[in-house]
Amino acid sequence: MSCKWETIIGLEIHLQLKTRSKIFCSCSTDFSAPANTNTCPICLGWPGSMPALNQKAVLLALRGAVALNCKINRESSFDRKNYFYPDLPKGFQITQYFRPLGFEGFFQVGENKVGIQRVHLEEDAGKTIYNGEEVEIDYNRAGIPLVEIVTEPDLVSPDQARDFLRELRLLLLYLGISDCNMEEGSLRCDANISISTGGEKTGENQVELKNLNSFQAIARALEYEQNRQKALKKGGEEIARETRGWDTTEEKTFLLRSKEESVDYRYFPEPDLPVLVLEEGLIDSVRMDLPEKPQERKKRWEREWKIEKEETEVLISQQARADFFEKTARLAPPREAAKWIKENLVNFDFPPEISPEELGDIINRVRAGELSTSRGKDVLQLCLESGKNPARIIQEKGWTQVSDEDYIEKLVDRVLEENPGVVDDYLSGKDKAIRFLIGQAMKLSQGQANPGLVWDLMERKLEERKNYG
Amino acid sequence: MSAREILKDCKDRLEERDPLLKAFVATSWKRAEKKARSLDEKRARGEELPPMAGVPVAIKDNIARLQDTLTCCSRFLQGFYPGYSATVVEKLEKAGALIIGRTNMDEMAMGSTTEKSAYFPTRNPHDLGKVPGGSSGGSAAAVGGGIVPLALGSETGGSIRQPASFCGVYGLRATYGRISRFGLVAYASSLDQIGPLAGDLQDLWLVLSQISGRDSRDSTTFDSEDLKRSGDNFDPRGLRIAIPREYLEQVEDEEVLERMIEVVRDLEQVGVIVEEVSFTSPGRALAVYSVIAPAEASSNLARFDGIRFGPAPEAEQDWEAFITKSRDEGFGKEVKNRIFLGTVVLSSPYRKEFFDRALVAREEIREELHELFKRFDLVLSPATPTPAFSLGAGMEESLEKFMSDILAIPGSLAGLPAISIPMGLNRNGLPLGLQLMGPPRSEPFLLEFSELVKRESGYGAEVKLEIDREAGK
Ligand SMILES: [Zn+2]
Repeated sequence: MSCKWETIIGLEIHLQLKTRSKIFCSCSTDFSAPANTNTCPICLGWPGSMPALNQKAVLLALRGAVALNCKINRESSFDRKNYFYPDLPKGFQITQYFRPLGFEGFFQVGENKVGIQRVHLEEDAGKTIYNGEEVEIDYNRAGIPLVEIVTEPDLVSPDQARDFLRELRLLLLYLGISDCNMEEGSLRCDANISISTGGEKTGENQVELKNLNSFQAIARALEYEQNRQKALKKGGEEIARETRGWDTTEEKTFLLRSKEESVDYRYFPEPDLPVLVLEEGLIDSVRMDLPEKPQERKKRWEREWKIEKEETEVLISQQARADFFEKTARLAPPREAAKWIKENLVNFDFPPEISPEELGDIINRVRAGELSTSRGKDVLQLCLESGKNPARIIQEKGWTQVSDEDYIEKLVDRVLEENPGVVDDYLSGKDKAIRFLIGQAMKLSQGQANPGLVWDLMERKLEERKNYG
Repeated sequence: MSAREILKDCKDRLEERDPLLKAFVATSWKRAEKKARSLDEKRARGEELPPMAGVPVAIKDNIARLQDTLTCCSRFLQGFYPGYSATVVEKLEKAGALIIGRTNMDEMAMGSTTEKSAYFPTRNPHDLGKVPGGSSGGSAAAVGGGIVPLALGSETGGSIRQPASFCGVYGLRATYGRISRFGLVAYASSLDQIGPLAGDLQDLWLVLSQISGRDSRDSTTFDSEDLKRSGDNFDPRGLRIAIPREYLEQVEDEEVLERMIEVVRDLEQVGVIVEEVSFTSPGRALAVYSVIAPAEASSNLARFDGIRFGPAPEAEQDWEAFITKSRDEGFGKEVKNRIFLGTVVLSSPYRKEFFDRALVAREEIREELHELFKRFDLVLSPATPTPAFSLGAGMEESLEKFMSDILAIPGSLAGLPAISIPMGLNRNGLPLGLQLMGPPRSEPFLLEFSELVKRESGYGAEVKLEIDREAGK
């Protein structure tokens, strides 16, 4: 029997929101502080303490939900997800289960439109540290605001899932709602994967992969899981509903727990927090305030400025770099600007020690023939090192390129006169001898002569001698 | 009298009576004395004194106070210092009150006799063989026994009104959200309210006005600008009072009914219109309550896991075994029962049949009361179906104990304000109580009407100044 295997993948993304204080108390969100120093009765779940919602977290989450084209609940609410775990101080997590902030959105990646099931607010738990025999708990992270983004199972391959997450991360960075640092855990991703033999939208037996902490892990783990499930199906075996982890050293997924023994979270409305009502006009003002999405920006560059895709990918990947490019491209030819930035500035932190105006100035001088390309690069380098502006560097170094034809003719004549042997070599057919003569001319001009003009003139004069001896 | 003299008297009374009553689980005389001294100095300098200057107050052991232990009369919280004060405590202290100690209660506020305290049972000042009610039994006995004029308790179902009624004092449950719950150890958050018990209506007014109001730390609170008296021209003529027939059906004690009818006659004399109405059976409200309260409790009490406080069984390496043992050692039977019940009603497959239906029924009760208050100013009933019952009556009486809250519960589910006011003693010398329930935020009217009841019926608080050691033995 031949049948077509279809892979169905959905992602659950947790994002730490960039707020100064936690979601339900005024503790700092700096979880790198010494263990358990950013804590208070509220985030420690002390008896008698109560949550009070941080409005900044609501705004950031709303920004995300709107940017992902979600429908927004004008009245959303908070619920308790009940389970016991040592790093969960209250024995429940406050989340939005019944009425999330955003729902039924989508995110377009290239040709792919991926559905967004929900975007909701919740609180983070503490961190359990296994230290040999000892188990230590750091509650600094408890109560840090999170946004959870759940996609529809619209992704069809591990690579697509990885690319989707990359693009999503870029968008979220542009929105400024999170640091999106996977290593530090400010962006965490879980994935659901199932294999179907066509037709149904979700495979009946999904496997959930937990804590995929890099783009590589996501692609590899999904790849592994896809193959594992296909092999099982081919062998006629059922795929168990289960939660699996990813072993980065063994490059294997492993069983964490079976879904059969899954926890009943006993969700119910959080009585300590009133319904979250968004003011009239807030959603619109958040929408108006959104920056141009990186994906759209990139397309605009390709369309309007004819920038190569290879270059736009590099330029867009950091917002500060993209902004820098955008400004430079309005002062100098965009394609040149793209090339200069890609070739010379990718390894620098943005914004660099040079302004878009200054880089535009260098590019324009090179185009006008005032500087050779390599001199231009030297000027750029010195700008970055010294912070001085290009005009000043050129003046101090005396690097103005000379294109005056009379001056260059005199220079060429002098070189020809002083190097009769080399000239004879050329005349006898050694074309390469011209390079030495040009080098001499450049040296005499202390590098300031326009090399193109020197070359043209030198060649013309030599050819004249050849023909008219 | 100076604040120090008032405090000295209070201390003398406590030392004389509390060994019999067992109303207190902790005292804080040193801090109260320091406070009294500073108030006296203030007065000597001719400075203006805060509104509650020098008033001794007791607080229930589930309300957090800086430098006090907070145990909820549970083994679980032995030696636990919360390190912060409840909003009501901050407000009392700012108002100049002298907080003298913490009162006994049923463990985690679960119970209606104060016998479920992990320490000891509290006794009824009117008869040491009877319970003071609960869960705020310590607060009610402290006021009814004349130790303090004022105490704070808390309610989920009827934990202020029922003990107030059993001990012959006034007890007020405010509108849900009028008094901040920040610092009150939660039992069932959608029902919990802190409230005062007092021997005097003026004191009730005073403390209510001091502890009410919006609190940024409790998002369910509202502004309390409305707490104002209407003035001296309170006119009872034409006021409409409803007595739900179904409430009376719960009352089997003849004396309770007769006394209520007597008070109603007095009210009719001054032009109040009293009408019997039909209302959802309190039994249904009790059923709803017995699902929602344990459900929320099961979640609220999940934080008691032995990690940050509570018994930490050393031998247990495994997390599940650790937490199980910690909770098993820390909680009493009643608490465990309610946690278990609450967990079940929230879990599938029972959830739909119990929790989800209870939420719907709660809305229906709320709506029904809302409709009732379109036609009536107040709902009147006995506070409890019976007067206080005997200590240690055992398991067979457990239903009666649960039922003693039954008349309080519909209002609790709807978040409505209600007051329990004394209506004299029965033939055995036990206090009887009347309950008045009003629409949301009607506390000023409830209190003024209570003054009317006192004036017309002649019944006021029955504070025992001498405890009869022999009674009930
Ligand atoms: Zn905190």
